[in-house]
Amino acid sequence: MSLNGRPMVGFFNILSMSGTSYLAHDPCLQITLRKNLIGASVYFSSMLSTSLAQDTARELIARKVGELASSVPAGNRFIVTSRIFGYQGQLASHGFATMTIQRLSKALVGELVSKWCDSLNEAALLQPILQQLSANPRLFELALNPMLLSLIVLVQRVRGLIPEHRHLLYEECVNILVERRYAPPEVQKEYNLTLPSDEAVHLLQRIALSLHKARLREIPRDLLDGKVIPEILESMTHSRASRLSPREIVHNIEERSQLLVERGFDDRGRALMAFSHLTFQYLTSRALKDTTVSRGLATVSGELLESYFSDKEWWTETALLFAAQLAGEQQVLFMQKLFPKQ
Amino acid sequence: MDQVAFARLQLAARTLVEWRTPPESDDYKRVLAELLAMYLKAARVGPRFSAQILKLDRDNVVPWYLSETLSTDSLQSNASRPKRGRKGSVTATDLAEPLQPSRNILNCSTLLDSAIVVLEKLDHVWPTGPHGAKVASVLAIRLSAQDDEDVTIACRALLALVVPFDGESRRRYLQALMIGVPTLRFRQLLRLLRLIQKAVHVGVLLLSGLALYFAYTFGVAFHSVYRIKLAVVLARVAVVILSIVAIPFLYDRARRRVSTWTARKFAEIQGLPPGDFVAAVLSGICMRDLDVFSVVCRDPSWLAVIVGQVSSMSEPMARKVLEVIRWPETSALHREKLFNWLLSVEFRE
Repeated sequence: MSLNGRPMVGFFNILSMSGTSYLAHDPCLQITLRKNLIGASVYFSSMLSTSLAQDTARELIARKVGELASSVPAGNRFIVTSRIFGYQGQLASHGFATMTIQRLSKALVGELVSKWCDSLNEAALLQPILQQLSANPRLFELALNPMLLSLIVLVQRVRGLIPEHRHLLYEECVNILVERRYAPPEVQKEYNLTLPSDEAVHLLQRIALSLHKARLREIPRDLLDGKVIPEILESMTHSRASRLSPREIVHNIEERSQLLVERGFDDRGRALMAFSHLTFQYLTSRALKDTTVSRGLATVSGELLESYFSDKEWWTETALLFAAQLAGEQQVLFMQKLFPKQ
Repeated sequence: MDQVAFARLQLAARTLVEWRTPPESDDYKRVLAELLAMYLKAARVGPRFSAQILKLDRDNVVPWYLSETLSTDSLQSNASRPKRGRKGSVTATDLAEPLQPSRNILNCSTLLDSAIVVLEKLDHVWPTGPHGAKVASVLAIRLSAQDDEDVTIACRALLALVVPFDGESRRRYLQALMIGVPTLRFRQLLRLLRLIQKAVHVGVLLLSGLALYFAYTFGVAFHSVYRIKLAVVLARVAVVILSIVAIPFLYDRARRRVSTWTARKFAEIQGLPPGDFVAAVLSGICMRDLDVFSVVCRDPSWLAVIVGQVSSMSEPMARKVLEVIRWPETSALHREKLFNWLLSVEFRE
């Protein structure tokens, strides 16, 4: 990897280099950087937000990174990324400048798509993607998020067409990632032997619904393994998933799709699991839509709207994605509930 | 309207947008009527919103815009809110505000200066098109003409250079304007000037030679001959220095004169301030060419130029405005201007 022609070195690459003095002497990241490292960009990904997320740990990491940056010869570049909430200016005293990542501009969208096409050796993808983005402002809005834009490129590559509706795009993304359609058939088969992809998607939906109802974006892994998944499995007695342990299920889903990933630790040092790719609300809405079969659309819509009225900000996207999946009479019924005629 | 009622309305609008409900639907009409009533009250704009725009709004831009813009703050009384810093509250006077600074754009002198900058680059960026000299020559010829039409063409050429058209639109415009213009007129003129300069130089040398010849023939003292030679050398140096100093000076003066003269001519012929004349020409172009209209709509400065000029719109023009409103990169303030413009214009077939 390189940045502006300079070599880029990841933090964990530094730790894993053998035969050099890039060594972690203890878990608190006591490292010494080889003095002849010149002209490199050292990249610390999400250091302050995801690992050892306690305040004291953040302070310690910031101090170590700052000392490291001060001790190396001039000409090396240090890039530390963090979620906004995890950084309170701890590195400012070591001369680090703070920058906030903005949404992509139109030019940057084009550049990122172009780079993806180059990486995939699929130059023919570039024009169709850019044309579809230009023609559809709704799609373009999603593409301003680099993660979603990357998924859009993946969908175009696998399906040959980007769906116009948001929920269909999310559906494609989830299916492609869970089924690993871009991977060789034998890899897909191996994952499916343990946990079929449809069951994996169903589990993801139900986990998302549990978290969303509890107004949580992250959940401790032990709570997921010990409470949430066993509860879901109680209603999946005929599935292959019921024969697996919650830990195996989470491991399978995490490894195959990266839709549910570990995101650091909580204040008690417990590993936190969270949804990635902004698919959280979509999976919740799909779970709600599925429950309409057993509980009826009127009941589910009524409950959803009550939740929306009590916490508009949290439930808007889910309500919209739920509504987007309705058709025909279902739409009429939903609108009657939402905006009844006087 | 209380918070829950507004939440209902907002989600209903967004849901209709999600479903891409056609404007003819009863639910669509109900929701939009409430949203519009709220907006018009908040924006203090008269209820001139044409029902025709709804028929054109196939992409549900109007409900999308209103549901995104309006908030429960809009329901408070206008008197209690500051004029700026709130959403959905642009007044008719606000609409006219950007016209003031943009008059600078329309100042003919500035316009010409900007055009010259573009002309200088044109030969490099556009090797196969009409080159800068040719475009400059059309400006010179048309501006020196006596009739309205030629001045208008010159103005159009200036605008084609200065308005941020994409390459293709600019090429199309300038190529249309180039028809019938003799090629390389400017270059021919420059060559002629260089010839004159050389002729003057040769003339000075000849005169010096003649002076030497007469001095020698009629027995002028030897030291006088040296004096004459010295005078000739000094004269030649003076001519060269004068040429170097005078050309840029004359060029700048000429440019300033052309600018002033152009501005005066616009005013004389049209009986309008120069800025208004240029705005009128630009509006005329926009009325005929949707691509140009689209470019102008996307640029806040140029939009401000035509807002005051265009009081009616064709259906395709209205669709273009809706497209720009919906485009994610359009700023909130620019959206407001465009939306309020839609509220104020009449629609024609």
